[in-house]
Amino acid sequence: MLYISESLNQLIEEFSQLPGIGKKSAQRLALYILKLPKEDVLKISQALVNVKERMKYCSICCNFTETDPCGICSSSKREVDTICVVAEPNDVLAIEKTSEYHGVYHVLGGSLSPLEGIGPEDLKVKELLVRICSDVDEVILALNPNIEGEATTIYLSRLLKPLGVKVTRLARGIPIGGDLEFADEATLTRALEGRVVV
Amino acid sequence: MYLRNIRVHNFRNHTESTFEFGQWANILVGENGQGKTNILEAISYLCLTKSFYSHGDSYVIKIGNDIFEVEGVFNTERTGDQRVRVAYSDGQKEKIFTINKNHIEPLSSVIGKFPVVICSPEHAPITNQGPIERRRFIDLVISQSSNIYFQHLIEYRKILRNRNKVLAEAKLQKADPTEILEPWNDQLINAGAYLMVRRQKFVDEFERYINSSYHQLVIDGELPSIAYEPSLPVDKSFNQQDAAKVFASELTRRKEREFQVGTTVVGPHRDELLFTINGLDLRRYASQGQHKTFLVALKIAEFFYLREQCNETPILLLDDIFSELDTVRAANLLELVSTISQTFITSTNRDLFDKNVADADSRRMFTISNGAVMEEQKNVA
Repeated sequence: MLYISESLNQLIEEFSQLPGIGKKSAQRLALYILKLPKEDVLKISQALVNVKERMKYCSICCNFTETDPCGICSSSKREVDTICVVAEPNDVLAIEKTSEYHGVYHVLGGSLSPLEGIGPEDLKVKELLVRICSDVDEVILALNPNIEGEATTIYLSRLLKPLGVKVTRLARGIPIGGDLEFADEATLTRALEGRVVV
Repeated sequence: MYLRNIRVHNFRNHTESTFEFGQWANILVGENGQGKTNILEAISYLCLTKSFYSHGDSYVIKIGNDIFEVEGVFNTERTGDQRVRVAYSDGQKEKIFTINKNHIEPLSSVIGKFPVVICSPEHAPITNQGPIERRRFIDLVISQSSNIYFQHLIEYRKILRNRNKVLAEAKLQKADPTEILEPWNDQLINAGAYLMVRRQKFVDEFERYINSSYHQLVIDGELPSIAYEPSLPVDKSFNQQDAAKVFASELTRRKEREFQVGTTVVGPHRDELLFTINGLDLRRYASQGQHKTFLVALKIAEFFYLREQCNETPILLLDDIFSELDTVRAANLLELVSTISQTFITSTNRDLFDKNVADADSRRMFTISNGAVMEEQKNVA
């Protein structure tokens, strides 16, 4: 870009590599950084380095953590007899926000996707299987409602069921507070398929 | 439903053209290569988010530009006026579709909102070539009448691509893919069984429409028929569970074959649709004229089918098809289409329309020349 110094340009480039950040947002962020006091910028950059240096995978649930085992796995308040299997660390955050789940997690690190070259060996499947012992009553498969998530659910349930553990999956249906008329047809169809007796 | 107007920008050879259309026949005349079909293509973008030619969006942009834009107002029976706009940027490889300025995502949810029936020489392969064109035909008709079908179809194709990838990879590595295939088998079977049931149901219903439309074009005793020939050996009347069961057992039976060739060898992606006249396979025995007549009849049948299924009268795009029919069949067709819906017709021969459209008030004639448009004065009787 003409008239813009090389260092600023580089920062914009780096920001625009981030997910969900386009060229314009990257520019805005870079200019914001430029206007910040130097100590604030140092704080941000230190935070970036810290997260990279200190964070590692939890040896039990494979989520990102600073302490191994992670806060959830080492908490005495969590019920270790229930494992909720999710694709990404983000999904743990989403379920934690409900405050309704008191079991532990297992983060696979993705979903099966042959087209993207992701097979079972690329996911933390072995790590999940070694966790299944007599203390575990239920494994909840909380994967995304798309074909990759579905394939992963089927794949895992076939591996888990012979181990004598109860395997469940999330229900699919209409979002709370939503209007039926605005639900898309696919969701509505699934909700019909999964209807329950009142 | 009808399209009140359209504006096309940097679209094929049109830099900026606007049209105010009539509610019935809109006839676009001009020499070859002037940009008549491009207008039909633009209408196709508004209805189906893409062209009826099977090529990418970048081909449509006027050479030397980055963005094309098509905008129009549909007057629909269900919801009144709807302003629809589609824009594509080649640089960003992004297509944006809005209805009344609201972004529509995913694009697939547009299908069926503005039903359209397109008949162009581009569609000739439906009757005279391989089954892929007939599947495309049947899929588009059912998808426009049922978005659930379309969602299942998209899902089936994705599952199939993933499954084929697993098979191809295993063939390359000389590995046994059985375990990794299983999750894809289950999904393929579920989505596939749904598609089969819907296709059978469609063909059963469609028979009556094709019969009636064929006889509106041809007076003599030719009897047209269509039959669904699934790639899976299902019984005559099957339900979704039956289809799923057969699909599963066929996948097991053909397992070795699949490992050998590294692709999925059975399923609805291999279905066939058989067209016959007087019991004879159209592909093998029909004359050129019968092929053309059958194609037009299919399209007219599609129109009446969609009109009943969608609660919305589709618009008709007839691209250069009158020149291919004999005068009697052409006159029959023109009489038929000029009273049932808004129809867009392209032709190089304007005489046909001067002679045949009895009610000149109900039609509008546009002359297209080198990407520019001129609406003609109505004939004064």
